[in-house]
Amino acid sequence: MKGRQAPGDLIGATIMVIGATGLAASLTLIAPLESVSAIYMLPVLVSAVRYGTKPAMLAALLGAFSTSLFYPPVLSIQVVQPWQIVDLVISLSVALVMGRLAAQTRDEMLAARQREGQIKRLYDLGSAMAAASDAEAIYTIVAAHMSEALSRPVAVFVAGASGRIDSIPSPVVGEAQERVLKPAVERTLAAPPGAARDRAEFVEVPGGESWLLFPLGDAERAGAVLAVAFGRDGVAPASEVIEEARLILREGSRSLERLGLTRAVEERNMRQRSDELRDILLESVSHELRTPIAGIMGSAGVLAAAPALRDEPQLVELACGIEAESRRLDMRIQSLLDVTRIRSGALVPRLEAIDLLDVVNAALDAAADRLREHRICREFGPDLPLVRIDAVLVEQALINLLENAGKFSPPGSTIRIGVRTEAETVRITVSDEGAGLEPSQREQIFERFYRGARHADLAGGSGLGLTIAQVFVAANGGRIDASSAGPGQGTRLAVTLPRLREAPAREGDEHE
Amino acid sequence: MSDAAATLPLLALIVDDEPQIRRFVKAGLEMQGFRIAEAKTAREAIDLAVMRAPDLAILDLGLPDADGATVLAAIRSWSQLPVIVLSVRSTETEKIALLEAGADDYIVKPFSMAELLARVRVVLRRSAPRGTSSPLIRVGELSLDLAQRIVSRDGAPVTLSPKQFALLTALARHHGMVLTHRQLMRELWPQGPEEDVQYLRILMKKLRDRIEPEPARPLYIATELAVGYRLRTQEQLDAILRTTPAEE
Repeated sequence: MKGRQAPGDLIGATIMVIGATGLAASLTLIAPLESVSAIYMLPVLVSAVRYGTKPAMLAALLGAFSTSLFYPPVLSIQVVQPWQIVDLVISLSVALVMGRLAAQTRDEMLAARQREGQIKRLYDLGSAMAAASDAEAIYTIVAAHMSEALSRPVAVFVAGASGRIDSIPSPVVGEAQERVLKPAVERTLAAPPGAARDRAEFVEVPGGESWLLFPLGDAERAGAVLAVAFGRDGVAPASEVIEEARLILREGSRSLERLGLTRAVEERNMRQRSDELRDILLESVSHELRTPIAGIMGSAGVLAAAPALRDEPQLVELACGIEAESRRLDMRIQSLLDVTRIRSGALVPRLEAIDLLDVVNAALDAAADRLREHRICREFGPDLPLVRIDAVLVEQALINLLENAGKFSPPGSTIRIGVRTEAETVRITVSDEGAGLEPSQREQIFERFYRGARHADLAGGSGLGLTIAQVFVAANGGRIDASSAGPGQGTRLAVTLPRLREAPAREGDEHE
Repeated sequence: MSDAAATLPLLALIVDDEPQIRRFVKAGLEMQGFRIAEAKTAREAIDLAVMRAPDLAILDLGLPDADGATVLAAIRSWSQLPVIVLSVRSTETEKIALLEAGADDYIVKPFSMAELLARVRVVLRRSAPRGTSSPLIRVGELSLDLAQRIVSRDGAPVTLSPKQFALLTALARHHGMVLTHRQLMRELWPQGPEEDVQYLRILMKKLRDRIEPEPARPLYIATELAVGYRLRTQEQLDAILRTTPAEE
């Protein structure tokens, strides 16, 4: 065993050598022996097994000395004969080697027994913690096991909300001690995880008591501090005590991590289920409402083209009206669904590098039908950069801005759409020659969505369209600003989007 | 269309579980001289596609017994019959998946009969027997002679780099139909990474600079946002020019 040698062990070894001497003396009286060295092997062997290496060594030396006393002339330490020298040297060597080997075997056996005890304790700890449902239960279990393993009282300090520290009530910590321990507990809790994870802090409380503090937590952070009481000895704890404590703490950390993981998985599953439910709901509402409209719209279109109605322009007009109105109705439903998607958080942009002109042109094509009464003026700057956006969302936002411009400006007026590159951003502007805005309205026009009750036309193009546009653009990291020189002076809506930084490699097109 | 229909009435298979949709699609196609077969389920659709060998299928995605995509896959396992997919506001991802699974085109509900008929004409031209389709393609001022490898705009020849020509040819081979980014990438860079669409966008930008009268407002090659590109037919070009408001 490592550690200090108890003096009793050395005395025991000495007593055994004296016993062996008595045995040797008795034997020489019965039958004269040339050498008694073999008899002195017994105390060496017994001391090695019982007490360890040092007493065994002592027994070997004392044995060799006593052996020499039995050489004739008896009771003289004079060694005369060469065979006596050989006998002494050989017996001493054998005794020393045998003593060492026996002591080693003993150490190994003791270590194995200790490991077995440790493993059993950790196993018990593991099964106790497996049943724990929250972190606090784990702290308490770890503390109880540590207290048992180290045979010392252990107190638990838990990091509460907003930096407070709660101590789990325990008889081992008095109020005064708690006051002294708390700063050290705070230090231990604040230490970054990882390198400092296995750190232990030794604190001496005025009054002579000392405590050893260990952090306990998962990989992220320490959630609690265990304080092991070392009483009034004030002796620094042996490294094996700390080692044992660490084993227990590591086991505790593992349990805490498992607990955190289980909880995270459960939460994610729950979120996924509710997301799925919401998507199914939106999907089915979309299907249920829009399929009948598809039927109405398609049928009206077929009617309008029917040979039987070729000479009935009024009826054809009616059929065309049904077709157009059902298309409008469908677009309103789509807007409502968009609003629901935004509100329920189902809106996740799929960002992709794209030529902004493609998006602007797609929006112009899609809105063309409703801007037929207006003149369109494109003002595109040279060398427009690529942008990383969700093309579909930005296209819808632009369609809404264009339709808004068409709605609030007189037929025959011009709608200008401009695209310009700036240092960090790209700006798309939609300007009309319509009613314009009061300065106070610049923010309000986007807000209708949130004050929906006042606006019966919730799904109408006017207010909701801009709100949807704003949310879609914001989802792409951009914003929309409204400006106007004043009432009657037209309105300008500007979409600002971040530029894509790195220019892509020009591989692939071998010319140029 | 009506000429071809007069000599040999084409058979269109309409697959949709909604009777109202089937009814008007049937009426609209019959007016154009088609014969019609109708299916309400995926099972019926596959059976009819095998037994009646239709010239065209209009396929709804949401069928009661199976996904429309399953029907598409089944048909594509043995037939190149033109398929137009109907869907309710399908996502771009879904459109891409369908096009790559072999759909010739898609149309989002609600749609007008005129839109559907325009698409029908395009996909039927692709399936026309070889030899009847001309290697000469004209859209607006652009003409493309696939056999002679000559591209000209407004009568004047346009020089294109081999990659630009390859891109235009790929689109011309599916004239009027959408090719997804991935389909084009695979054709242009068979060994290259399929993910990086940026090369394609840059190449497209250069091609448009050469062939479009006004590259900032491309007319001949249409962008299908987040899906792919389409070389417009004359009819598609006329349609877009008709609806477009006056420009300053």
